[in-house]
Amino acid sequence: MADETRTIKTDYLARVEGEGGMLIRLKGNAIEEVKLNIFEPPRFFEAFLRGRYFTEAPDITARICGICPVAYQTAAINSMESICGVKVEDQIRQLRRLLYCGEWIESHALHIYMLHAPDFLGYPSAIEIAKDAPEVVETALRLKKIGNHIMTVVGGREIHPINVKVGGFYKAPSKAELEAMVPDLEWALETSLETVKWANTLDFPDFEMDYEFAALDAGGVYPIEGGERFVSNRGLDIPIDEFYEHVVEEHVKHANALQGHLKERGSFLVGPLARYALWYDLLSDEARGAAEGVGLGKVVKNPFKSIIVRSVELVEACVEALRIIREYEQPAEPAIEVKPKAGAACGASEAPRGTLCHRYEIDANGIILDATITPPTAQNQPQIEADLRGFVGQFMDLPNEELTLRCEQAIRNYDPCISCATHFLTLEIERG
Amino acid sequence: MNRILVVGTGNSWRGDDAVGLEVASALRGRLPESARVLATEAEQSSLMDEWEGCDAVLIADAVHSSAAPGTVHRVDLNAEVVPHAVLQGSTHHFSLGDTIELARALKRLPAKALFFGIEGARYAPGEPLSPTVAAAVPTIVEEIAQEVEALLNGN
Repeated sequence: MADETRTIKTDYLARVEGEGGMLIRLKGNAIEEVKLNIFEPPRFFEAFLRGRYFTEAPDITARICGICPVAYQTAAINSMESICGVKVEDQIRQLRRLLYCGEWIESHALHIYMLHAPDFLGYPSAIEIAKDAPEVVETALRLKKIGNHIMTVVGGREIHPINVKVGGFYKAPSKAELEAMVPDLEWALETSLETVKWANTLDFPDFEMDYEFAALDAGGVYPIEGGERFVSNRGLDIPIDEFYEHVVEEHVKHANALQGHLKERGSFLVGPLARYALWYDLLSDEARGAAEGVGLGKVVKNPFKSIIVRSVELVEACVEALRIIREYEQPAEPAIEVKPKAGAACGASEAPRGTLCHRYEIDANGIILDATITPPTAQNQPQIEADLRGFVGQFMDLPNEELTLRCEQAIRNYDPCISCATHFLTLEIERG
Repeated sequence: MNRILVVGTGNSWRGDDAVGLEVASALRGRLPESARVLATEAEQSSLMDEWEGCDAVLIADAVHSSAAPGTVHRVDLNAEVVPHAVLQGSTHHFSLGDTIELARALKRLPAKALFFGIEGARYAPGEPLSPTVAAAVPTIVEEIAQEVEALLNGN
């Protein structure tokens, strides 16, 4: 038995070049190897952006991911506005935050109920849940639809929103258009509060990791649509422009991919657990109340409980959307004019799955000379491997089938992104 | 049949994954106005909202199996399940195959639901359609157009 070799691996996508899967090899009680490749960096897009006009970046990068186009657009816009030295007025910023809340609602509802819940409920997928408990899936679909609707009303279109531009929006929605969404959002808020309670009833393995949590500092509000600094619980506190001086992307041979590390310390975690741990005090009363109501501490180190934290953020997105609509006054001009200036800058936003950083360099005519895009999944990848090592080390005695499912679930804890990531629907275990 | 939706889906930046989008674009000027045509790269489960209230939906997407590139797999979704192997390689997190099966479980499939899976050859980022798949597009467009006309005529 001591020499028995167990291999846990995912099937990779034969159809898509360059994308991979997961492999864990155990020999006896020793972990010989953990290899993960769930991310394909958007290098093609970076190359495609060079030579394009600076105002095209939001539309082009929105196409990288079908589930978080707003995150990409917003990070690109933040970067371009920083280069050009402009600051939009507060109502424009609030509209961006509202649009982003739509994306959080859509993405978090999809992940909580349709991608992550099956792991906890013992179903292979949401399809089987729908057969036994259709109301659960219908709830998720209605939440998603409400998030989509915000993206349509503010962004002009739910996927690849077309109303968004450097400097603001092509057209600002009227107050009445936004107020028409209030009844749905009130339902979504109530449902989100129930979601937190429901998520807390799930079974969680007794497992914690000692994370370095990193997220944007948005200057006194819970970070969503941007932030001037990137901070962590271990002393990282840098202007976003210094992102690439501290986060280094290393080419990982086994994965044929780039993985992000903090130069000083190695792996770190971005996403709901990090935002929650760093900015708990900035959550709305409703979101904090929901967390307290289920006894969730101010810091969650069990990655499997990210489903509860994601539910708390779902509450936060609904509360914020309702607040913005209540306080909204249609701006006189939907955008300010932005003239190109030669320079370079980073811009970031908090995608549902974590901090997304863009860096552009443009010339005086507004032509993009260089582009670098670092999605959250690239940053989280070394941490996911660390989680897998920790988890397999602690739960090695589980039967193969259960260990495999739990490893798959451990990856899904991070909600790896769609277009940039393979998915983990098929796993295999090989015994040596 | 009054309300008909034709959906072409895929990823416009990934070689033959764009074929469903190409088919939908070509159908735009080809179909009577009463049939709605949608070319979308949306997250797939939202498609259920698109066909809500429709009498018929026709869906075109790229697929990867062992068939020759350009081959069309036509599946009557109310009569059979999309063979899993055909859609196994979907890059979508909640895939089109998942969405179809979820709609079936929730009784949200329209009375007439047809799937046209078009066998692709290559999917590298930034590539155009492969010549074989591009050459198959007019035939697929014609096939779907005839289906829509038959449905509109009550056949």
